[in-house]
Amino acid sequence: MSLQRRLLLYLLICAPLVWGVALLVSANRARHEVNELFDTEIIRLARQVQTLLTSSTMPGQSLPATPSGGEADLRDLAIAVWNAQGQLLLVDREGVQLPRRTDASGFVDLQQAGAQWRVYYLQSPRGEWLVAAGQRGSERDELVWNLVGSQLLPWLLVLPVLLLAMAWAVRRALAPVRVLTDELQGRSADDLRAVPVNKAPQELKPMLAAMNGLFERIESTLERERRFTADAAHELRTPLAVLRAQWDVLKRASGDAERHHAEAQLNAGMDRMDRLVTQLLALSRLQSTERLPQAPALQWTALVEQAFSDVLPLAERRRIELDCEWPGAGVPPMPLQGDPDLMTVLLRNLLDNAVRYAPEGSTVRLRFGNHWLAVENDGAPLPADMLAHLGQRFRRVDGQSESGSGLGVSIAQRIAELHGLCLHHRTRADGHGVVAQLDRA
Amino acid sequence: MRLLILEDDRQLGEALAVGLRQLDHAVDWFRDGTQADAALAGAPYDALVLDLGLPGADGMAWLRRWRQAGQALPMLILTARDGIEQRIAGLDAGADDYLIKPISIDELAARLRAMLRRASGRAQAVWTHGALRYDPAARQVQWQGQSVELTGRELALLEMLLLNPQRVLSRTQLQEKLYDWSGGEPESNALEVFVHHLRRKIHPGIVRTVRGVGYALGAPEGGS
Repeated sequence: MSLQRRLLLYLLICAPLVWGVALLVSANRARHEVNELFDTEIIRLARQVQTLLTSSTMPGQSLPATPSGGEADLRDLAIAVWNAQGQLLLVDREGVQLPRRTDASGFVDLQQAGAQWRVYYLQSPRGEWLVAAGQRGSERDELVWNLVGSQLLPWLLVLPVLLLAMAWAVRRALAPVRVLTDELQGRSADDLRAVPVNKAPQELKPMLAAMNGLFERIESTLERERRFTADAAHELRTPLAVLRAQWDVLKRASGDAERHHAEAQLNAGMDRMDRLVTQLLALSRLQSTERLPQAPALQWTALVEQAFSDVLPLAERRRIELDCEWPGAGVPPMPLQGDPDLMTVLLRNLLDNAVRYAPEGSTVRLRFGNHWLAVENDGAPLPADMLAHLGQRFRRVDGQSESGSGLGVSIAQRIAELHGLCLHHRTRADGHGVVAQLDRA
Repeated sequence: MRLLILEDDRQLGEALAVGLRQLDHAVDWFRDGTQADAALAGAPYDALVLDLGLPGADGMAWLRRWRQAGQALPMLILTARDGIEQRIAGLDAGADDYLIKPISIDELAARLRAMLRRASGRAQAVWTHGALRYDPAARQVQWQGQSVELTGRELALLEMLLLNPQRVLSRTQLQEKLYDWSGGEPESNALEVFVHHLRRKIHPGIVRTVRGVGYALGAPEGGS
């Protein structure tokens, strides 16, 4: 249900309810006032009658009929006076006959001649007379309802106006929301500009701020994706060019030796393409991963075994020794929870780089500490600007005979990030070689 | 023709060099600009194929430097950079053509031929000289309407003579055009053998010997 409808509905329900309660309260007040007024009147009447009585008053008298009483209805009032012997001394002509109640004193509500009567009994001090003055109850109700009714009528007349005013007010109050909705609706799908927060109502500000934050995140994700696609397309051109050229060479090759050489070259070209595409896919999957799906404690021995097996062919081709140094006895190698498959990929990438760029015949070492691990080789130290750019996608080390995909370090960095680790490269303490070290971030 | 390739990617550079050699071009391939720069000064190249993403100085920097030094060699950029601004910048820096990877070796060769044709002031795709017709794209030679079978080096020699119809070309010039640095020293009388074959297969007057200097394109009779 729309906010506007909900608001209107609540207002439409609440306003009459509150008004009804107010009406009840005011009716009650009116009844109280009317009772007070009439009770006072009756008491005064009874007292006046009493003061008029003298010892000469004879039983059986009636008050004279009143000539024209205006709008008064005298049948609503009744007066009776008895002497001590119970003889009716005085009675008014129009009223009903009130019952004699010698035990009563003060107000008594009673049923008389089919109507509710409120009667005031007044005993004279020495007990010679009993005065009763009564009024029909309906008279009071009538007055109360008349009073309340006269209040109700103007209110009922104004009610539609009030409702219209409320509807207008609600619409007015919600106008900023509508403006915002229109603005967002009118946007094209790729328009991720921030919504202006300053002009928005206070209540909407936190929501808009959150929305703008979301826009920003989406924008940066999109930008990353765009750049990644552009980079990937660019990077695929050279291996494709290689394949194309190698294929052209193979087509023209004459003689077995030339053909075999061309085939081997084409094969190497396809290996390279294969590696690049695999790495690209891995990186694109990693980029969209926010959290690790599962995180058991890592069994380093198994991971190292796997990663070493993976780089062994390259190491053999380049005559490189692989070596793993575990921490001293009793020290567990960097306890870590994480994804074993991803961690293997990370190790393999670091080892692959180290082997690829190490001088032939040297040793590549994987070393574990209690809170770090490092891969070292004897390669030429990387220049400072290269160190700074390592991990940028498709950035390769200049002038190498081995061609990598330029993605290995990016992938390793992303995996390290997902594990709460940070990866950095430096020159070994003795000024030679390159060290890739993983520390807790 | 003799080509210089400057491409840092090992696999691509090798494939391009081998592929262009299969088309009987003499090709020298270098992986960095400094070596290529030295080679440019040392051999008479006909065209240069240039990659832009090079280690150290960028391909564009080398292009500008060579053009500023007055190097008029036809140069072709072969790169992965496909942005329009990059293409414009490449051509404005002095490249004669701008190709985006990947590209087939046949197209690359065709582009190089076209560049050379323009550089030598010939607009026609088929070159004629008297009764001789030479189609560099199809690498076919006709003499008086009859097809003539020539080997790659013979064709290259003929092409060079046709490219410089009014000039006497020295033995060294011709040899440097015919051979790159990949095959070692050519045999000392190889050039004479090719000249002999051309005279035998086409017409004795097609190549004129200028004693003590070298060879020039001849003007054989027999239908012009």
